[in-house]
Amino acid sequence: MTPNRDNKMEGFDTKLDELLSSRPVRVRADFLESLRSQVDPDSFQSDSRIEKLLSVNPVSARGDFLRSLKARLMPEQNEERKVIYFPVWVRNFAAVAAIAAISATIWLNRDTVPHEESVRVTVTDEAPLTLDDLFQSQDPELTRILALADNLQPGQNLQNLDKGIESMLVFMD
Amino acid sequence: MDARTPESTDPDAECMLRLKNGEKRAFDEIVLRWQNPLINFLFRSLQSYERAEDLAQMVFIRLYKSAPGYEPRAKFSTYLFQIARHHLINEYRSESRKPMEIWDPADLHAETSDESERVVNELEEAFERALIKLPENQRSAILLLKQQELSYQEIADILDATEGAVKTWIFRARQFLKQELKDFV
Repeated sequence: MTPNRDNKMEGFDTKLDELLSSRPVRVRADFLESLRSQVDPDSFQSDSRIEKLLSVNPVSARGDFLRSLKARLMPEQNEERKVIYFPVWVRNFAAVAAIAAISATIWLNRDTVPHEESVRVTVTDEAPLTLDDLFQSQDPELTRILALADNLQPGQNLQNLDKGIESMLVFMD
Repeated sequence: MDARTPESTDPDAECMLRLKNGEKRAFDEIVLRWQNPLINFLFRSLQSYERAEDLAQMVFIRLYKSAPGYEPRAKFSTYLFQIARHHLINEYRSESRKPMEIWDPADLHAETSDESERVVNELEEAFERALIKLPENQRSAILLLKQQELSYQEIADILDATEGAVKTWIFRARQFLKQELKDFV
């Protein structure tokens, strides 16, 4: 073997070593990420979810976030609450107004109602009267009281006049 | 595998112990350090980047799952390439059951991740053709020696052979490659 041939073989050995030791491919950048998703998918997905949640935290910190979220999640329930609330409010207001009107009416008519004492004078000498006795009585004072009571609660059944009389006595001086 | 204790300076063995203790970040460190050597070793053995990457994923998954029982009896590189060779042999077995594919080294280069940076020439193509003709043990032995720069003893541990057998395999592999590439001398 000539020196020239030896040099060629030595050069070839070097070239062969270079080929054997070479790493011709480069790993793609997302290799680790794809590997993690296969190795421990639950953990990987949990991490991903946590990162997403953390990224939306500034939005959730808004004061009206929860309210707007509820409005989006439960629009029907919110509408229903409005419907319920409105009649209650009107009903309460109407009840207060009616009581006030009745009280004012009684107060303005207080002078036309005879005093309790004058009524009692006429009945004290006799035995306690029942309502039936009152209806059948020919006493003009009693007739007047019954008429006044009837005016206070028009349309009521006369058998409930005892309640009317009690109401009248309460609002008199 | 023998019962030698690896040097305490083996950072990969330490990573495996950290992974064993539940520190998942240690797995990322191992993958980042070994993905390139491992995929290149598998690429030379399979002549396909996609298959090499698939196999590398299987190797790392196996590594991850074996972490709870890991004991640093040998160098980490020995442990890793033992797993890799096990998967590689399984791949060859499954491949032998498939029809033979007619392949062109130029196509193989096109499959790689960064084709533009690769210098494709006739010598390289002939080298790849010759390398794939080698028996598996000879190819693995010479690649582990030259590409991975492992010692004869480590290679013997990986290939489950004696050191003398490994030297013989490497000598024969080198002679075969020279014969196949004699036209380029």
